[in-house]
Amino acid sequence: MTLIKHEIKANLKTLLIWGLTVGGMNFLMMLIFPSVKEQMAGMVEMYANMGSFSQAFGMDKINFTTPLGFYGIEAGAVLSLGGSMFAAILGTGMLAKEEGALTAEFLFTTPHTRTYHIALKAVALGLLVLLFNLLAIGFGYGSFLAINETLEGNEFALYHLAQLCMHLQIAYLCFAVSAVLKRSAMGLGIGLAILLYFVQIFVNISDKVEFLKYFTPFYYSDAAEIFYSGELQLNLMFIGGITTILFLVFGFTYYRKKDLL
Amino acid sequence: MKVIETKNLTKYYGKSRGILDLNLDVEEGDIFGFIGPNGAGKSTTIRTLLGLISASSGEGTVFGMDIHTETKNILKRVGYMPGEANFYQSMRVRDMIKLSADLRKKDCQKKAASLCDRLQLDTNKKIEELSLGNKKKVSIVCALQHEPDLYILDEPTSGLDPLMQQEFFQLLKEENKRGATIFLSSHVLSEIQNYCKHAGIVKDGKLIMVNSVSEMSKSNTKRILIQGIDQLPALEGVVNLEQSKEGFQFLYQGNMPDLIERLQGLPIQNMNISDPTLEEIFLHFYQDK
Repeated sequence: MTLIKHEIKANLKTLLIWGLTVGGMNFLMMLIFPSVKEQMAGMVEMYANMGSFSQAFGMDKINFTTPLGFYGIEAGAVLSLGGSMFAAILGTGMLAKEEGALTAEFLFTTPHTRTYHIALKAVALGLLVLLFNLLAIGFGYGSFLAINETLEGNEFALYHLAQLCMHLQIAYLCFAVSAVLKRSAMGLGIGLAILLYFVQIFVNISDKVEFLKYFTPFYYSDAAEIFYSGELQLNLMFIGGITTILFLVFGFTYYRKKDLL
Repeated sequence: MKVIETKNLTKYYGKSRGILDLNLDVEEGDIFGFIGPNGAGKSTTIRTLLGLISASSGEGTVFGMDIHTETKNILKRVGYMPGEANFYQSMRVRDMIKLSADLRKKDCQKKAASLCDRLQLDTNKKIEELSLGNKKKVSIVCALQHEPDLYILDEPTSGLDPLMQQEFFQLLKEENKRGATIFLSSHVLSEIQNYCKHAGIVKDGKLIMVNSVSEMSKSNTKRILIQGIDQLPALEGVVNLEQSKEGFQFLYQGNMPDLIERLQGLPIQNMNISDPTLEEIFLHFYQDK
């Protein structure tokens, strides 16, 4: 527990900066919804006919003149990208920072097994991602209250659940990758998150690369898909979960035997 | 009882040599100095004992426990000071010391306060504000506060001023008196000579000499100073010969009667025969073997 508390405390500033920025941006975006709602009504048909561009961002499936649709398109992009970057930064740093900052000799000479340390760090990572998502949900919920709009709770809950799973998947993928690194590689994590985001856009645009939806968690967490179908793509989430577990097993196995210099 | 025991302990980093067939025994209650220059294998040995790195081959035990499989139980009884004192930069000293104790699930407040007091360590400062010497003091407190049975200290005095070095060794003496075993690596040979009971010299990853410090100094090698002569007669066993205004100085490894016989009849004004310092023995090993 000491290590979990330590990690949460050490990353609190990062959590607040990212959580307040992403959540705040979403909140502000929703505040402008009442004033743009009328203008947007005329744009729905135009967007629906914009072909690939609309498909790329799911605007062919979602009605963004509704508050939830607007939330999914405008706020969704910020939460998806912002949250995945936050998760990637934390994930890549969680293990590798100990070697990079030369604190491994302090931490790993305390009387615990290497597995115990890795497990607690993984738990701390999960809790930080969860706290970030709770902040985002709080801001999202608050924004609906602020503009006096009814929140369709089921879709909202499914969407945020999918977002949480996506952020956790990216965090743990980066955590596993960081097991082989000598120092924190924030750029690598952010690069991976952006790459997976663009893979989802390609999948939306072209049927030829539809198989790539199994490789990017952005696909199953896309607001357009969830609001359109009203359900989660559990098969994709399951595959994502299994992939993440495999990566984690590799990360654990590698780091347990790693020479910490 | 042997607190540390290694048998043919070997570590390679890829193709690079770390340590080679290292056989080391450290007895309970000893203060053991581990001497060697940079890259000789001192830190590799220490990190292998602590489970930070895995040995390529060979065996090792600490308190009779295997260093490969019982690291957790070994670490419960060890206080470790790494060569470079690195901590979480944004933390305050008091929080860092508490974190170290909490990770050991021990309440060390009293001991920590006493150590901070003796080392004149300001616990309100952030780690990032500390000088190298003060970071070293934090490292000392973290290693000593839980009163372990074995101290493994990697060049512990680097960065400490002479007064603090003295205080540090005083603390170690007290811990040793309590029953703790101390294993320390150092470049500063006078420290080993002044404070250690036994010492081992490591060269190119191999332990080339282990003995009590007093025995090491009483080796056959003698430091000789002769004044009043212009030329030294030919002698076998002379090393590190230096000529200055004061006369001839050299390390002599030959028979003393031979030396006296050769010097007879020479206009010697003064002659001094003394035990060499550990530094001279160390340099001798490094230059000749």
